[in-house]
Amino acid sequence: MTRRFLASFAVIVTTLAPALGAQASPALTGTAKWADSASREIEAANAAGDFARLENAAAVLDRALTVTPNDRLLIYYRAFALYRMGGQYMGRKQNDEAKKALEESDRLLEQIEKIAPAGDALALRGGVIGQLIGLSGNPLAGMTMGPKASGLVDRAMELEPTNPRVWLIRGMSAMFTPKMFGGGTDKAERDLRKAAELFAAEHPVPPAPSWGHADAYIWLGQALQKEKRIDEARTAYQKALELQPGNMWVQQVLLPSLSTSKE
Amino acid sequence: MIAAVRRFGILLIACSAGRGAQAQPADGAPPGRIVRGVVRTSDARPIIGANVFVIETLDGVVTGEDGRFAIPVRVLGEVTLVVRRLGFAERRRTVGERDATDLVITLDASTVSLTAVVVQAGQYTASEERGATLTPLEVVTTPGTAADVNRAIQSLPGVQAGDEGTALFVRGGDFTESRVFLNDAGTLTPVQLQAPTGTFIGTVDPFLLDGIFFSSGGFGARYGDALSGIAALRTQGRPVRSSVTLSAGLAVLSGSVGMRVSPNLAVRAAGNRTNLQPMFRVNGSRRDYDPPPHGYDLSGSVIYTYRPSGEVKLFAIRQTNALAVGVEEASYSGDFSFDISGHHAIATWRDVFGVVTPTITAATSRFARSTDFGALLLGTTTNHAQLFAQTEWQPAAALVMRGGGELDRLDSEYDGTIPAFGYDVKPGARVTVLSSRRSGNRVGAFMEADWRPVSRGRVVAGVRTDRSTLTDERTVDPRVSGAWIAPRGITLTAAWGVYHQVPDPLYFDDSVSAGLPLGAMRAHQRILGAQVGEGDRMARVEAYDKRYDDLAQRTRDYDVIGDGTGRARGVDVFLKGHLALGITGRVSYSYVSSRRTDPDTRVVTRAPFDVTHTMTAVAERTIVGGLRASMAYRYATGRPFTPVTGSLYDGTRQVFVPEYGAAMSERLPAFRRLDLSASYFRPVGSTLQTVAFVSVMNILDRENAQSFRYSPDYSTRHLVPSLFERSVYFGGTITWLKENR
Repeated sequence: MTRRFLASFAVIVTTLAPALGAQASPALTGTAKWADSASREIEAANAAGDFARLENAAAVLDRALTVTPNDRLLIYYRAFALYRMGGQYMGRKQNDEAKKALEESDRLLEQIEKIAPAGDALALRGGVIGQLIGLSGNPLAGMTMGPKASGLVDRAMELEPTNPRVWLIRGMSAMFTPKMFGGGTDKAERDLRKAAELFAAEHPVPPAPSWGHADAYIWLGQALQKEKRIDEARTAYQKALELQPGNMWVQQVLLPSLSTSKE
Repeated sequence: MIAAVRRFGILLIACSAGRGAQAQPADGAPPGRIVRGVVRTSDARPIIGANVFVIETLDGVVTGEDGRFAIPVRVLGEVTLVVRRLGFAERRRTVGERDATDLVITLDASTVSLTAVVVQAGQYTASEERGATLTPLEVVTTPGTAADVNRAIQSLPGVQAGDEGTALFVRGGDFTESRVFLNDAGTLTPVQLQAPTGTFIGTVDPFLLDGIFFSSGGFGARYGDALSGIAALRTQGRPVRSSVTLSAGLAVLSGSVGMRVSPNLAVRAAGNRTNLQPMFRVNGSRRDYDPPPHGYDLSGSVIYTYRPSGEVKLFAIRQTNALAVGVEEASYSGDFSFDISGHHAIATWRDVFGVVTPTITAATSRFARSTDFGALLLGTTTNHAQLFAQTEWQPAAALVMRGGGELDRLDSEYDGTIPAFGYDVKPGARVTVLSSRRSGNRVGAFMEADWRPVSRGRVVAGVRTDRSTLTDERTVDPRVSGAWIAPRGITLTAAWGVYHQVPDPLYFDDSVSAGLPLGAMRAHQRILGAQVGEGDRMARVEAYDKRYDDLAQRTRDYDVIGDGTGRARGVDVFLKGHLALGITGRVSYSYVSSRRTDPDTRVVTRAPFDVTHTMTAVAERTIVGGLRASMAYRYATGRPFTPVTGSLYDGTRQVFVPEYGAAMSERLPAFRRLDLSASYFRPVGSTLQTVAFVSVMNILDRENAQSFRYSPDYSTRHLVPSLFERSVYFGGTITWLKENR
């Protein structure tokens, strides 16, 4: 049985990248190559707003984890896929499905935390818990779960202070956190600009996580839009489109929404 | 091999084609069978988004809106089809070469379908982790608990309402059979902690805690020296933000500070000053106190994180409590006063090195108590030192091994007098003089395997051994518990184990035990249970059977006897969910039949804590914004007691000697109480938050019974009311949070 799994796994890592329609670094081998391909597929699917494609990437990661259940990178990308799915479910007002996806994502990220804490996984978990607070329906949930979410992001920041995704998630969290709890659009803008700056200088080595550069501008745009700084918001959205051409959310929702916002 | 690689690659291309893909053999691939079918719910609705794959090749698809799938299978022989979907229990099916292709796979809804098995027999947790039974918010907002951790635990199934005190009578056992651990160190629960107002145990402020784990039985080999239940409390870690909190209530003034000194170092400090006098002044009291219960506690912790996975935590607390209450006994009426003080210091180190997680805890505590009531004049001092070490090793994703040991030294000093006869407590009565010092060392070791052999199952098996110098014997306790997620999302649990506990050191004093050799007390537990759901929607039922041997007990004349036996059987039910109109609620119900040797007659009869039915129902609702209201109703069958049926006058000692009826043949009236509370949370500015709260305890002003007292000649008896008549309690909290930089 073990030999059969190993054979299957060898097949996966040599063939999945083209199967997913993504380009992985040719130097990568093994789970690294596969994880890198999966991450690109998730991002492409998310940008295109193609839920089925996103769900399929998550499903393939789920299958692979039956062979190597303890692979941190695969767990991380499966959790990331579920995080993206949670966001899309929320956009469709399917809150029960969003909660299921985010809770499973939280469970997987907690698993990584137990194996060996890493900035990306800690920050993502903070973001996932933040989403779950919003879905809980209990206004006091933020009192108990909020410190846990921000504590995870803080730990991630201590661990990797120049990781742009940690700044990105901190900035996104600030957007949804009341000012009295340390949030607010001013803080969000500061963190998101810092994230964008760090993304510009980041050259991650595959299969390390590399997502988020466009997100930094998407969320920065929303923070600016909330502050009625429409021109700056438009610039941010356009920058996001430069980085991720064809991003459906930016093209079809965020940019058109600017026309109804007033300076 | 090359052919296999090619085949599998082609299949993966097919599987990536998207939801509901109808895979077709690609060019160059050898022809093969296609497994086809539909995934649907138990009521025949198609399931969209199910991940269907062949585990041998990982080839699969995600089902579309019609729930259908088609997967080419290019390996010979039987294959295993796996179907997974968030919110449903995983289903696996073996598919033979000649099996029909119109497979119908039915998935059962489950909130735990793909999550790890977190439920274990007898276990409840209060934390923000998944699978927690209660959240910390629920602990502090449960009406009638006065934000006391033990009282919140009492709202869980399996805990009998012995009285209105804070002791934990778990599944038909005495409260001394349950242990409380703080950061892995056991806290002192000496047998003498019985006040005239009920059982009394100092507990830790819930705001100092970030996790509570309670087990009403079936707990693992890691926990020793406890027959019935354990509560493991974990103090807070590093504060997320620096903060200062001040609280004022009708009976408590408190303050706390949490500060991050540097990225790696944080400190916390807290203080509480308790005095029930203002509360009695506002609400009145059925009992006469002089002085009313009062005390303080001071605590502090230092948390040093020297690397992301490594932490050293120091926690120390000092607590005092004192009161004097008027007590009327047949032989004497006067003030029963007691004064308790203690401190506890715990140092914990924990780190993670790859798959190895070591933990070391060193603790020291001191507890002093003086009691004064007529002929009872006793001072007790107990010093406790502990060293606990544990290593967790995870050699595989599905297996965690734990091993460790503990050294435990208990020094107890007793000085004073206790009445020679329980019925004659007046000053000048015949007494037994105590002046002794007892020391006991206990050495324990344990090993445990936590194994998940299949995704739906979990087995925890272990063994521990202890040796105490007090009993001079070695005990060996094998324990095993299991959980399995059955179809329809039901988690079935079972546990079996042997548990030992060393009697209180006082019992070994010759003046009360007359040299009687005492061994470790023993309990044999068996538990079967089932749970549906988790988190904020769940139902849980557990049945248990406990048998006791070698119990050490005290008679009403304070003598110690050994070789007591007993048996407790019962059923616990826990329901939690959403009701109508935005109300969330939970109900705990426990049925128990607890029988054990009556130490005075040596007859096996009802145990003093045989509270047949215990029920707690809690309902909560957010009214608007930060305004939240909750209500709790408690019911418990009255506790058994042995009645006095007559008396004879002893002219020599000038006291009536009671004649007792059948042991435990009568019960106190049933206990009923309804409590209400409300809290309002409001932020002020960007760095201040305020909470105002009000609660009404025993809103129906029911006079519950603490016990009966008798007239001097025992011809009449009167009910002694419990502590809480209808009482209003209110207060507020203000917290300053440092701005995030």
